[in-house]
Amino acid sequence: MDKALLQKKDLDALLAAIRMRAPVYAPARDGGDGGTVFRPVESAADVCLGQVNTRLSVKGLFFPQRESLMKFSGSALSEVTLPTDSLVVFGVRPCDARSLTWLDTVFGGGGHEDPYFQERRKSAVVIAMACDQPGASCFCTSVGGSPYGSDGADMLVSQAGADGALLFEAASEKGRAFLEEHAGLFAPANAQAREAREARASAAAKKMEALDLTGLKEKLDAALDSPLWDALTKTCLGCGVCTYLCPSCHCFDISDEKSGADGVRVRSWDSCQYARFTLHASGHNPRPLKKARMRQRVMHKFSYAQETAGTAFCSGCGRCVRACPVNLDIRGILTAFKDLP
Amino acid sequence: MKNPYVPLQVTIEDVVIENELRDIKTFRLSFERDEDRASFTYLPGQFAELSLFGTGESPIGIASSPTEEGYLLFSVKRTGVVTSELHASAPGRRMGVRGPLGRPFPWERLEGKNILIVSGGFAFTTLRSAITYVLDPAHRKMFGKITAVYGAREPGELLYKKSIAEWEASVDIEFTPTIDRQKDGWTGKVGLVPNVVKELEPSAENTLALVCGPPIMIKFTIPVLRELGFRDEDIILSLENRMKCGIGKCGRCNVGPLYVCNDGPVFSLAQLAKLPQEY
Repeated sequence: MDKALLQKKDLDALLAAIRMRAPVYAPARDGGDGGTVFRPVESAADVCLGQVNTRLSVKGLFFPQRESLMKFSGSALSEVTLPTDSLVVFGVRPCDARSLTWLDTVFGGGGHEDPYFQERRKSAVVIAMACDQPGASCFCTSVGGSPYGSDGADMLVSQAGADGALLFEAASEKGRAFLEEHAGLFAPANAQAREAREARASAAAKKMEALDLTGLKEKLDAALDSPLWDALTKTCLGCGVCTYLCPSCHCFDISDEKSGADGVRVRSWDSCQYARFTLHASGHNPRPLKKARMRQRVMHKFSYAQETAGTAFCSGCGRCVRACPVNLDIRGILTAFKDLP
Repeated sequence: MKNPYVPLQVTIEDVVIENELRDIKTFRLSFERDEDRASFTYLPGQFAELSLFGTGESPIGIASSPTEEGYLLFSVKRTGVVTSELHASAPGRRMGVRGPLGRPFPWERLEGKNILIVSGGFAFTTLRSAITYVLDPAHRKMFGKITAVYGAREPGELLYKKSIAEWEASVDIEFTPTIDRQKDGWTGKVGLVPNVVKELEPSAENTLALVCGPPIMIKFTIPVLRELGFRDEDIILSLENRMKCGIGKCGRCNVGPLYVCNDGPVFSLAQLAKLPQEY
């Protein structure tokens, strides 16, 4: 079974069935300001699907902001703390799901597998929710994505029509197995639902202006020393929020925390936007200036990743645009370099 | 799945103070488990993360050669938190080693070639590994002429003094130590490394140059090597950048699209010419 319909009233039953085996994470309210984050949910009433996107991306479920790698006692290792829990994530936007494929490349590649990320990723089922109302800061279609894309997801869910049914489409073996397992709750997808889905997908894509970024990498590579870097990043505060919220940024720090003789070796998110990120113990700093750090962020996503992974590491989710305290818009930076003679 | 973040347990067997300033010490480490010793197969030019639980980790080049079996040597300069703690450690202390990491000197390309080694100051450590490796009787015939220039500010700052004496006396290597300024009691060469290389005029024919030293030495050595006829792809450098994971994931040691930890630390000058100078 590749495609199937679920009546909205049966979402509760589906969530309950999944929760028999694994916790379900979905966008849920975070505080009183209307923002959402991925949290374990108990019923369909907890799930928020109307927002443009969650405040924090889905990456934290696989690569937590802070996690213990191992425990030690005195000068010896006492325990390696590998994650063992499996999870199902419901309501991931296609931009976030697509970013997971790049995290897969980073944490699974380079000749060294990262067992912490891989353990969580291999046991998880990722159910994406198509995007019918992209926000003003969304630009997935400019970077090769689509509001109905299913890269990185095991399943794509969309609103099948006015009757409130949800169309589930399997995007992987795991997704097909999921539909089989819960077949009792689903009805076959009719032609009407499929047509409605196509119409909605193309309508959603048209709601975003697509930038033409053809040839951007070559322009960036030729402009390493361009004064534009300085000019465009003058207002940057170096707060790093763009990197923390980014679903594909994966930089981290490793540090030891101890109390008495016992302690933990912890991994936590870090950011290339911080001056001390690259500071050598000798005092030398290869990226001492803000413009070099912003260049690193942009080059990593739009040039270096093209070389190492064959794709840009930006899904156009727009979080960096929405959250920047000084309104730096990466679309403006990219366009400025793209438009260089 | 092997967990690349988990250090192998080792014990400090011996500590040698290498210089008069007493800020560089060589640590001899032995593995606590036989299977770790057997699994740690490396070549000169690679590095490892030295791991002190409760303090942290520091990436350090491996100074021993794989031909020296049963132990690892690391020469460490006291600089930051981890290296200071290490300097305060005595034989018998248990600690961790994570590695070997990175790519070694290009040994497949080096075979059958003459080797010119140019080094200054503290950066000599992985070249000590390389020299010990090529001079091993089982390896020596795989290489042509071996020439080395190694400089320090003054005689007391030269590392591995006992080995230097042996290399100076050996017919298998033309080894020239040099110091920046004349000092009483020094009978060897006086002069900055690039000038001494210029004076020795080593042939570039069928030769690879391994160059490790402070940025200022490298800056002035490269024009000398180019003048001698070395092509950029035959000038081999070893970089260092701040690291955490050492396996190409944590994102901080990159120079352009290359990670110093995983794609390096050994690069040819030709590779680096196209990249931003972020090292």
